[in-house]
Amino acid sequence: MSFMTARRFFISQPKHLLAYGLGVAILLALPEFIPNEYVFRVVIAVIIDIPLALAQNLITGFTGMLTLGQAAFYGIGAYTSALLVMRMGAPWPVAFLAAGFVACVFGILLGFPCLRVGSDYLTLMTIGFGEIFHIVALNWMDLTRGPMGLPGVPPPRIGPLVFNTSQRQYYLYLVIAILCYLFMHRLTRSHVGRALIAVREDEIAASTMGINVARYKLLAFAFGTLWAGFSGSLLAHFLAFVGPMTFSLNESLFHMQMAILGGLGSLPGSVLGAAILVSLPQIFQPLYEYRMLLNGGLMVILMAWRPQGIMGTSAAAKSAKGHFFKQLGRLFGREETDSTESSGRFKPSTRQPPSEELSDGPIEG
Amino acid sequence: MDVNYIVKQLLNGLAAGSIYALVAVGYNMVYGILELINFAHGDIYMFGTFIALSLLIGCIPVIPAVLLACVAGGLIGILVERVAYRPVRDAPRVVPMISAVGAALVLRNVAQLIWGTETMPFPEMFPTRMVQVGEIQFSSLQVIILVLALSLTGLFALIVRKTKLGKATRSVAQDIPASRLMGIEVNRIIQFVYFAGGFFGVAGGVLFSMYYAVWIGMGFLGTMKAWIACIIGGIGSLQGAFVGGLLLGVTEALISGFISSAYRDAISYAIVMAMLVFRPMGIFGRQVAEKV
Repeated sequence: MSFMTARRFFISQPKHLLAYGLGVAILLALPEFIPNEYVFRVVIAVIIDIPLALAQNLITGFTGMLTLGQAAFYGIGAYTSALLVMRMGAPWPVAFLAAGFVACVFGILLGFPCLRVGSDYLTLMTIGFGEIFHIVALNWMDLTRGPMGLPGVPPPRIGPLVFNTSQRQYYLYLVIAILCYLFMHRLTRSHVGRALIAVREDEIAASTMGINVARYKLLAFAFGTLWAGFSGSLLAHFLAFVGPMTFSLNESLFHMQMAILGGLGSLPGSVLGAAILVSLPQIFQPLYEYRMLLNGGLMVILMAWRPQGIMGTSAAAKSAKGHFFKQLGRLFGREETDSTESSGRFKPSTRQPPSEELSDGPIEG
Repeated sequence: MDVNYIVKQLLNGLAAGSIYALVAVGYNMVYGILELINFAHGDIYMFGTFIALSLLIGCIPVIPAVLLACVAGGLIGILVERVAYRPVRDAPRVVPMISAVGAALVLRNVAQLIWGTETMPFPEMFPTRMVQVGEIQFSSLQVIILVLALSLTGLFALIVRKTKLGKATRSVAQDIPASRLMGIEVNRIIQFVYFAGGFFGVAGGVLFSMYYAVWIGMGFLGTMKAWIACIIGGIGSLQGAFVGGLLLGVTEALISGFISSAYRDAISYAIVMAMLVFRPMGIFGRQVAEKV
C-alpha cells in the first residue's frame, strides 16, 4: 500500500463514514418529517429522476455525447415493465430488470450507428430515435393503446411485499437510486471512467493512448440507457399509468437540464439538479406557465457564465471552459484546409476555435 | 395505382418541399458559418410568423406586414446570436448547443405567453381557387407558394453568390481567423447571416402557415425539417439544402399518400438516420478528410 493510499484509507475514511452514516440516517428518517402525501410524491418523483440525471450525465457529462433521446429509453423501460406485469403477469423484479435490459439493447442498437457520425449528427440521431419512439408509442394501438396509454399499472411487488404506500415506495426507490449512484460512482472512478473522460476530451488523443473509443462510447450508451430503462419501470409503477405524452423531446431536454444544472461530470451535481428541477416547479406553482422560459433562460445563462454547473469543478470544468481545446488547438494548429467554393462543401466535424492571439481584439477595427 | 393521385401527391410534396427548401437554405447558411446547430432557428421562424399573424389581424396590408415580420425575425436572430451564441462561441461544442436549446425554449415560452397554445388558421393573403388541368386538380395556393419559395431561395442564393457581403460570408464560413486577417468584420458578418437566416426563415414560416396553420409547435418542427433537408442535401451546400428540402417534401407526401400518414415523420427520421450512417455528406456534399 503506497503512502497516498494509506493516507486516504486511514485518515479520510472515518470522516467519510460519519458523513455517509449521517446521510443514510437523514434519508431513512425523512418520511417522518414529510407533512403530507403530496410532498411525499414530489420526493419520490425526485428519487425517480435521479438515475435519469445520472445517466444523462454519464453520456453527456463524462463521455461528451449530447444525447437528446433519453426519454425514449425511459419510455421503453416504462412500457416494458408495465406490459410485462399487466399482460404477461410477470413479477415486478423481473419486469424491472427486463425494463433496463430492453432499454439497454435499444441503446446499443442506436449506439452503433451513432459511432459512425460526428457529434452534431449524434444529437440528431438521438432526437430522431426519440421522435420515432414517440410516434410508434402513439400509433401502435395493439401494444401501447396509443394516446389512451396503459392505466392501472400495479404497484411494485417483491414476493409477498407490496409497495403500495408512498412510504414503502420511498424506501424501495431510494435503495434503487442509491444503487444507481454507487454504480455510477464506481464506474466513473474506475479506469473505465477515466477512459470515458479521455474520449470526451479528445477522441484522437484517447485512441493514440490505446483507448478503444468506439467501445467506450458504446459502453456509456449501454449503461446510460440501462438506468433510464430502470427508471422508466419505477415511474410506471409509481404513476400507475404509462402514456406516450410523458416521453417526448421535452422530457429528454429535462434530463439534460438536470444534468447541466448540477454540473456535467459531477455525480452529486446530478442529484442536486434532479432535486432542484423536480421540486422547484412544485414549490412555485404560480410560475408554471413560465417554466420553459425560466429553464431555457437558465440554460443560456449557465452556459455563458458557469458551463460547469453548480457542482462541476476540476476536470469537467476545465473541459467545459474550453481550456483544453484551446491548448490543443494551439498545439496542433488544426485548421480548415478546404479551399473550394462554399457550395458543395462539406465539413465533417469540429472546427477548432481560433487561437487566442487571433480572437483577442478586432483586427479590422 | 391512379396516376392522378400520384401527381397530386407530388404537387403537395413540391409545395411543402419548396417551403422546407426556403427555410433550409437560411438554416444551412447559419449552420455553415459557425457549425452550430441552431436549435432556435425554427422558433425564430415560428415567432416571426406569429408577428405576421398579429400584424395581419391588425389590418396592416399584406406586403408591409410580412416584410415587417421578416425583419423582426431577422432581428430576433441577431438577438439570439448576441445573447446565447456569441458568449460561448469558443467553448466546446456541447456548450453552445445547450445554449441554443435554451434560447429555443425561451422563444417558445414567450410566444406561448403572448399567443397561446392553440392552432390558428392563417388569414388568406391571396384569393385561392382550384385549378383544373386535364384531370389533375390543384389549388392555386400551391402554385403561388412554389413560385414564391423558389424565387426567394433564388434571391438568397444570388446574395450569397454575387454580392460582396455574400463573398465575405463564404470567407467567414471557411476560416474565421483568416477572414479576420483579410479585414472582414467577422462579428458583423455573423450578425448578417443570423439576420438573413431569420428573415428568410420567417418568409418560409408565413408560406408554411398559409399552407397549413400556425401553432407553437411549428418551431421545433421547422428546425428538424430544415436540419433534415440540410443533411439530405449536404451541409454547407446551398443547392444541396434546396434540393434536400424539395426531396424531403416529396418523400413525405409520398409516404403519407402510400404508406401511412401517422408514421410519416417516423419514416422520414429513419431515412435520415440511415442516410447519416451511409452517406453523411449528403447528396451534394463531398467528403473532406479531416486534418488533425
